[in-house]
Amino acid sequence: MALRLHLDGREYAVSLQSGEAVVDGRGHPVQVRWLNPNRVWLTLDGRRFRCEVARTPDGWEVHHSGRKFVISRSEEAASGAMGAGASSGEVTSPMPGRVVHVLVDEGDDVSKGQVLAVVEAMKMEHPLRAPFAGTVAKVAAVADDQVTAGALIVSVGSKTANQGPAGGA
Amino acid sequence: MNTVLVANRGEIAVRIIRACRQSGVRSVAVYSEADADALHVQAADAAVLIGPPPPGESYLHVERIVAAAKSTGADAVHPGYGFLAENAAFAEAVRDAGLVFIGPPPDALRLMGDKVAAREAVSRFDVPVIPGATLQDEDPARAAAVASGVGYPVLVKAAAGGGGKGMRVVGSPEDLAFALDSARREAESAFGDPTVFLERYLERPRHVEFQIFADRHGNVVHLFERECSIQRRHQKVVEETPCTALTPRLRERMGQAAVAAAVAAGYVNAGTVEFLLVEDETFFFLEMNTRLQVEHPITEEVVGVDLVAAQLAVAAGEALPWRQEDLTQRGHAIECRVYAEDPEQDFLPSPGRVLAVGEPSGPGVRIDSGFYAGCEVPPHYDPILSKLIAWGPDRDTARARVIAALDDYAVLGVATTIPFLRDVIAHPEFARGETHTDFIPIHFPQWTPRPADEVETAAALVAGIAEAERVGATHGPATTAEAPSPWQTLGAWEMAKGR
Repeated sequence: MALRLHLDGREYAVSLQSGEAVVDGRGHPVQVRWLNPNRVWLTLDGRRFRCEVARTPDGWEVHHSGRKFVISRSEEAASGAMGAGASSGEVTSPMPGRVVHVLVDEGDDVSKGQVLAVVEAMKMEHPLRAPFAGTVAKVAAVADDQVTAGALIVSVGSKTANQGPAGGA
Repeated sequence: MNTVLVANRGEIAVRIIRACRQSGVRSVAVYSEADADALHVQAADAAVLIGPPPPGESYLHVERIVAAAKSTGADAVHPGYGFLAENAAFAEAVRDAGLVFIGPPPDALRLMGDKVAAREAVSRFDVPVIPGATLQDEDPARAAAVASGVGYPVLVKAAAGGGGKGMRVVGSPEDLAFALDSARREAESAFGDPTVFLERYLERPRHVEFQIFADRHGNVVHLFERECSIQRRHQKVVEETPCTALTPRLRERMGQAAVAAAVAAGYVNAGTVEFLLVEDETFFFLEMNTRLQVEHPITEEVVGVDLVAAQLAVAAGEALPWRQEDLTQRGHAIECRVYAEDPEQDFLPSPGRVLAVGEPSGPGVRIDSGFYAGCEVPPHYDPILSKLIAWGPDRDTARARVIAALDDYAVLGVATTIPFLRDVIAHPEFARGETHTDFIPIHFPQWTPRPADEVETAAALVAGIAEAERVGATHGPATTAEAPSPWQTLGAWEMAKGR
């Protein structure tokens, strides 16, 4: 099996055959032993790793050696991490919670960094800001809405495109 | 006492339920709709749904909790920490319903809940308090006189509230008038009350608290100290005992002051007296916490006691199981609080589904947990997931055990503070015992995970791709084909028949 994977801002070509893993063209002798659906023992280049592994919608989370690795399988998932798809103008909720305020209406001009809405979770409030200067193309939530992580709250279009929604909405 | 209702959730509810089970007492959990599948609900002998997720409609709802206690035949209520634990009206409602409140009397809750009244009460028992006074009016001459009486540097605080609003540090008398004006304006705007309080400002204090315990027969003891200086935005993150800065003589003086404070409060059951300790062995009463504290396990490990079991016994009318001369400290314990927060994103809360958990174990390793793999961490409550406590015969062994345990503690699906805690404990200044309340702002103004080397990175990627392959295949050991074992080939068989 061969995949393109994203980890810590880099892309890797990874493949696994019996006894060997190839990462970006470099071969590594490997042994794999699963203890249970979430735990695997790997020996790679002679070093032993005990890994906790869980599948996520985008790929996997892996823990070993006191560190967590968040791996994603696709380009879109990797860039869309925490909240705003900055280039697309979509301002999303970074976590599940409740919308406290929506401070703008469709058609409002906003400046870069302007607070568009506030989401509350775990007793703290978090402002959601405009990723660039533009015009509010769509308001997708109202105060008191319960939202999931990644839910669209406000969509901002760039000022240069006046006809219709812009920027990958 | 046959049945105890636990008016709380998460790790502390699990802890109390465990003590009930070990003491032969039946436990009842209460839960909101968000916690229907929570660990504490499963751990109890019975559970009552008390409302929708918001705390005001569930864990803070006095009437519903008291009703749940009565309907399940509970004879006592344990409030845990937070929520209603220090709420005198709740303690009274429990008592008025004919039930035992596992904690101090309502009057003690009220007295120690009023910071000004608490200071006055303990100082009458010769407990040192931070020099301070409220400014009753805006007369500048009187303010200057009070400030020099308190001693510079002076801390100006809003009398009506906290959180840093209306706070100013004044280094010398020339700066006082300006600071007072500015603090009063901020206090008026934040709390609707411009009244300010002046207090001596303490440089680089250590936050040292003493566990006390009193029964209904007049016995009061202290169970030594806990050092809680490692804090982030005034929230404790790492606690340890013993405190490296205490000499035996200082420990004895502070222990006696803690017991005196408990007597001044008319206290019963478990409580904690907080002090600020500065250079040259000077300490001051800060406040009293009239509840069981989050960090109680480190006292349990070093003193060798079960504080929750003792709470149940004292509430049932028994005498304290220890005399002061029976209590000693052995070894060293460190606790880390594991929160569902992302240290890479400025500790943004991280609610969501926990996908996998790997817990460490080994000599001296204890985990008090409120969550499990597959559970949902709801966004409505305090994000504490668990506490990791390590004990060792000395501080360096405890430290090494904590670090190894944190490295082995895997939580997938939500972000946690585990890797941040590991770096805090591994820091050379922590190793040297230089723990003051400015530790995190100075040494960890930001945090990023340590870099992974090429082989570590490859291992993580291979673990991912190996999981993808495995899910396609049937589950089971991923080894080469082997001959079937006798357990598979043996036909039907039965136990020897007849007799």
